[in-house]
Amino acid sequence: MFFLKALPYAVGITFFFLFGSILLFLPYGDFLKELLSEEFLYALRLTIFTALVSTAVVMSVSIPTAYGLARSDFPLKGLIKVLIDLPMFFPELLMGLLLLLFFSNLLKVQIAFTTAAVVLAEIFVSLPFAVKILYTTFVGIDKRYELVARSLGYKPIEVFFKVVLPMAKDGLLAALVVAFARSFGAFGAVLIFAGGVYMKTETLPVGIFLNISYGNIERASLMGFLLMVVSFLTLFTFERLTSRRG
Amino acid sequence: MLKVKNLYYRIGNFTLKNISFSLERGEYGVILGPSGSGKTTLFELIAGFRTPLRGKIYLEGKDITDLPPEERDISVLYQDYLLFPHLNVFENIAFGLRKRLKDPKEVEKRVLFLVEELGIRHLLGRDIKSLSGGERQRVALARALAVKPKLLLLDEPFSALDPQNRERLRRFVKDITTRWGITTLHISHDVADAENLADKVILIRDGEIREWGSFERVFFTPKDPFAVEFLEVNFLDGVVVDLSPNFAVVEVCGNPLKVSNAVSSISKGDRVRVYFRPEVVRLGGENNLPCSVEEFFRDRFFVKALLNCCGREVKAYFPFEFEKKLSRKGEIAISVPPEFLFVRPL
Repeated sequence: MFFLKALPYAVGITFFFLFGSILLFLPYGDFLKELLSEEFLYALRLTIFTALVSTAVVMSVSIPTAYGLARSDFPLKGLIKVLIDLPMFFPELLMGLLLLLFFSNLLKVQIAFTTAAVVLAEIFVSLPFAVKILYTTFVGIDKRYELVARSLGYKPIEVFFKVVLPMAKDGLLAALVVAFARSFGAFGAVLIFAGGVYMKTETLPVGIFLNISYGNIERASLMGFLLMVVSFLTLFTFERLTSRRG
Repeated sequence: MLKVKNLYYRIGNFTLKNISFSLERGEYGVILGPSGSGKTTLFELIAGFRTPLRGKIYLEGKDITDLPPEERDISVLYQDYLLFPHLNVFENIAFGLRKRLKDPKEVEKRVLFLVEELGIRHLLGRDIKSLSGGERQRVALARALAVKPKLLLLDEPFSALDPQNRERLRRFVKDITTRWGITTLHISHDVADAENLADKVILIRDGEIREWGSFERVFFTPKDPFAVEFLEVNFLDGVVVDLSPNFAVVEVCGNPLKVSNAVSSISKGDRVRVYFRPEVVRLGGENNLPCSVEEFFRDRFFVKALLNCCGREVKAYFPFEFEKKLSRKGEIAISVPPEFLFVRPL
C-alpha cells in the first residue's frame, strides 16, 4: 500500500519544513544582542518564573484531586470529572474570558493584568491536563497494593507516600512535564486575563504576538524558536516516560 | 483463633449473609466455592478492606470487626502476589518489618532468618521483575510472614502457577504454616487445594455457607445437595437391617452393605443415606453392589467412570489398567470397604 507509507512521509516532511522555516528568520546578525535584549530577557524570566510557580501549584492540587477521583466514590463524581476535563476541549481564549469575568466582574478582585493573573491563567490552562494524566496513572495502579501495605501495618497516608507515589513516578513526571509545557506556552488565557502589556505581563508567547504587531519578525522568531525547543524537550521527555511505562 | 459470627454484607445485587464459622489456632481453613460465590468479598471483610453491615469477627478473642486493616495483625497474600515493583526482594520482605522494628539491624536479621527458612536467600537484592512465578510467591509469602501475623489470608495463591509448581508450593505453604503454627485461611475454587491442605473446609455458594466443618466431615458426609455435587460425593439411600456397636448393615436396593462410620446416630429400621467418595470405590470384592457403566474416560492416570447404581449416579476412579475391563452399558460389581462408608439418618 503505497499511500500508507507515502502519506505519513508527506505529512512529516510538511511539518519539518514548517518548523524549519523559523530558522530563516532568526536574527543571525544580532543573535547575541537580541538574546540579551531587555524585552527578551524580561519575557524569558517572567515565562520561567510563572511557569514554575503555576506548575508547583498545579502539581500540589492535581495529585490529591486525581487520587480522590481514582479511589473514592462520591455524589456527582461523574459531573465533577467532566467539569475538570472540559477546559482541555475549549479554546484558551475562552478560559481567559471566564477568568476575567469571574475574578474581575463577579468577585471584584483587582488581579487582572498582573503577574498573579499570568500565574492564575497558566494554572487553569494546565491543571486539567495534569489531573487527567494523574487520574489515568492512579487508576492503573492496582488498589490491592495499597491493601497489602495496610495489612502490613501502614496507615492510608503512609501507604500513599510509600507505595502509591513511588509506583506513580512515571505518571507524576509526565504530569509535571506537561503542566510545565502548558504553562510555559500558555497564550490565549494569559492575553485576555493578564493583558499583553509590554514588559509587564509579557511572557514569551505574548511577546511573539506583540513583536509581530510591531513588525519585529526576527525577535518574534527568536521567541518562537525557544518555545519550539522547550516543546521538543517536553515531547521527548514525555515519550521516553510513556514508552518506559508501556 | 478466628471466629466469624453472622456476617452480613451487601454489594450491588450480591448479598453475603449469615456467615459463621471458626478456626482454631494453627488450623488451616479453606474457603471453597465457585466463581461469584462471595469468597473474595468474605476475604476482604476478614482482612478489614470492607466493613460488614452486621455480624462480628473475632481474632484470638479480640473483636476486630471495626478495626482498620493495619491494626488487625492479618497478613494477606493474593494470587498475583502484588510485590511492590519499586522495591527489590529484600525491601519487599522488610516492608512490614520497617514499620514495626526501629533498628535496621533487627530488620535485616529477621529478613535473613526468613529467607533462610523459605530457601530464597539467593533472591535477595534481585529486582522483582526478574523473578519467576514460584519465586514471587515465596517472596510474597516471606513478606506476609515477616510481621508474624495472627492470621494469614491467602486468596487463590496457586491459581497462577503451572501444575508442577502448584503442587510444590502447596506442600511448601502447608509445611511452613504447620511448622510455625500459623492460623491460615485460604480462598480457592480448586477442590484440590482443600483436599491437600485443609483442616477445616468452608463451602460457600451465592453468598451463603452451604457446609462447613472438618475436612473429613465435609468431604465424606456433606449434607447440602450443592456440597454433595461440588465435592463429588456419592450417596445411596437404604434401610438399616442390622446394627451393632461398631457397624451397621444397610440394605441398598436389595444389597446388604456393611458400614462402620457414624453408626451411633442410627437405629435398626431407620431409612438412611450412605455416603462414599469416588476414590474409594473398588471393582469386585466384598460389600458389593451391581451397577451399570454409563460413561468412562481418562482423568490423568485414572479412569473416571460414571455408573448407575440403584438408579442413582455414582462416580468412581479406577486404576488406569482397569480401562479394558469397562465397557459402555456393561454391568459391573463395585465394592466399598466398610471403613469408607458413612451413614446418616434421612
